[in-house]
Formats: sequence, C-alpha cells, structure tokens
Amino acid sequence: MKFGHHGANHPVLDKDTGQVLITSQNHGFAVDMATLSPNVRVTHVSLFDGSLQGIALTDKPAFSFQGHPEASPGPHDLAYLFDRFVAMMERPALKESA
Amino acid sequence: MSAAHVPAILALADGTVFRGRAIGAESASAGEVVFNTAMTGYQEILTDPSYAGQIVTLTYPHVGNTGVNPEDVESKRIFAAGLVVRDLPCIAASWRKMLDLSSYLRDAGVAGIADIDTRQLTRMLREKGAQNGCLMTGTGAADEKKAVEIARAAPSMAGLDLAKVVSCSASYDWTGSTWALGEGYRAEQASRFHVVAYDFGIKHNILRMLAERGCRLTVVPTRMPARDALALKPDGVFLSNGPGDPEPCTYAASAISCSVLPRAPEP
Repeated sequence: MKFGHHGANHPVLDKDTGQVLITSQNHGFAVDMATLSPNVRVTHVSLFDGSLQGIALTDKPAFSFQGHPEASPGPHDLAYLFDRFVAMMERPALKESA
Repeated sequence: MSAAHVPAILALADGTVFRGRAIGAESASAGEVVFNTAMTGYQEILTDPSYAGQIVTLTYPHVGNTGVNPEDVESKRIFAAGLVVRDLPCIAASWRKMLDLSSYLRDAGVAGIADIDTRQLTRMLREKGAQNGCLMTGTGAADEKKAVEIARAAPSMAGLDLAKVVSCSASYDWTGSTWALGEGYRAEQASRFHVVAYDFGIKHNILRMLAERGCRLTVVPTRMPARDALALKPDGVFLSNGPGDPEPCTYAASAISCSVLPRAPEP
C-alpha cells in the first residue's frame, strides 16, 4: 500500500449487516481482492479506499480481519468478531453461508 | 523537570530533513516512517509489535499528556523504532501515571523527536508514500548528511520477515482478562475452550479479549508446525497480527492451510 492504514478512526463496512464500524488499523500490506479463491467471500471493506478488510471461507469455519478488532487503542466496534470466533467453536459444524 | 534542549533530526530517504528536539534515548535508528492518526493510546502504539522496524509519527499534536503506566502495554517492550510528535507537554498528569513518556522511551533505548511540523511530514508521506527515515538524537544530530545516508541504506519493508523477530521463542499459557475501572485486569473466566494463538507479533488485548470470552490460551511461536499445534487439541486456532511483509512468511501460510483443512465442517 502507498502509506498503509494506521489509526483508530478508520471506517469499515460490514457487508453482511450493512453497518459501518469505526476501527483500529495498522498495516502496510493488503490482500488484492482480485486474487481471492472462489471459496473466499469478502465480508468487510475499507470505506477510506475500498481495500479488502475482511474475508470468510465458504467451506470451512474460518475468517480473517485486516485491522485490529482488539483495538487498544481504539473503538470497540469490532469486538463482535471475537464473539463470532467463540461461536464457531461452540458450533464446530457452523457453515458460512455464501 | 525541564530537560535541557537536546537537538534531534529526522532525515527521510528523499533527502528531506526535519530538525527538532530530542525526547527519549540518545541514539540513531532507521526504519519506515509511517503516520498514525489515533488521538489516544500512544503507549499501546509504541508497544504494538506490528510497529517493529517503523518510526511512528503521531498526527495528534499533544502526545504524552497522561504519561505512561505499567498496565497499558500491548507486549513485553517497545517495538517501534522511534517516535515523532509535534509537542510533548512538560507536565504529564493522570492518576494512573507512573512515568513520563520521555523517560519511558529513554529507559527502553528508543529515540524520539518533538517540535517538528508533523502535518507537513504526514502530507509528504501521504503524497509520496511511506519511506525510510533516520532518527538521530543528541550529538549525532549535527550530521544531516550521515542521517540521510542511513535512511537510504535502511532495508525496504517489502520482503522483510519481522514476524519471526518479534515472536515469542517458546510456547506459554496466557491468563488474564480485560481491564475494568476499579478492578484493573480481571481474572480469566472459567474456560470453555482451548485456543492455540500463533504469535506473529500478537497484542495482549487479543489474548485478554479471548480470555474474557472463556478461552484458555496457549501462545505458540511463529514456526510451530501446524501438526504440533493441532496435537494440543485446540477448539480453535487464532492467527495474530504482525509486523513486516507477510509474503516471506511461508511457514505461516503453511500453518494456516494445515490448521484449517482438517477441520472441515460436518455436512
């Protein structure tokens, strides 16, 4: 990335809920959305530059986020990703709906 | 506690030189100069291992107002290669303060610079992109030419595997939940799940937030093969954040694909 994302006020769109989340970010590299495999779906995008922020596998219980859901420092908007991680362990057979 | 004015310079690889006042340790360090727009949390930022090899400019103009304390750390030490601020107030005040920011940097051997135009620097980084820089404080700060040379000679962040540099060397168990006013760090909840967390530069608050949700955590080093991690029979595998370029971290990609593949959901 040209100058990366570093801050605690970056808006990110959760594509599943349509909610905008204010997030903590710190990265200088990003995944190119055009290179994703068919079993990877985009869950979050940056509203600063449209870059990829979150993915989930459609055939395995796994997901990923580019920024810092743990904040520290920053807002707690993304704490629900930790809840999602725990929920996946509660229901190992949880299947991501594509 | 008014310290004498010690000179400092920040030299960029493109030849730009900023002159300011030294805070923290007297030393010379090189790294990729980046800017962070957070208004709070400088201690968390300094101790975030993802800042390894980077000189961090904080765009918020007053930094250090609340000093530092032993609780707001995100790892065992400062990982940022240097700190750039507009203004460091002479008085730090907070009921949690144990030390002022400049002493904290000095004790850690990390250099910082204050009293430079961070707006100008940020605009340069935003327009030209992040670039390498050299932060020199104390007597070395007179030699601008040398500082530019050091900035130019610093390795590019592209292709740099820093995860293996910042990761823990051996596995350890994590206990301890999130912080609350009047309570400090709370004890872990009764654990319902065992999570293996790969440390590519993990921040403590990730571990705290998982512990808060009933996870017992085993933190493992970057190079632990997936079969060893899975032999611990975890309910979940967590892959942390980390510094540098992810591309050379082929061991991480291999661990990820191996830990995800055998756990296919039942139909």
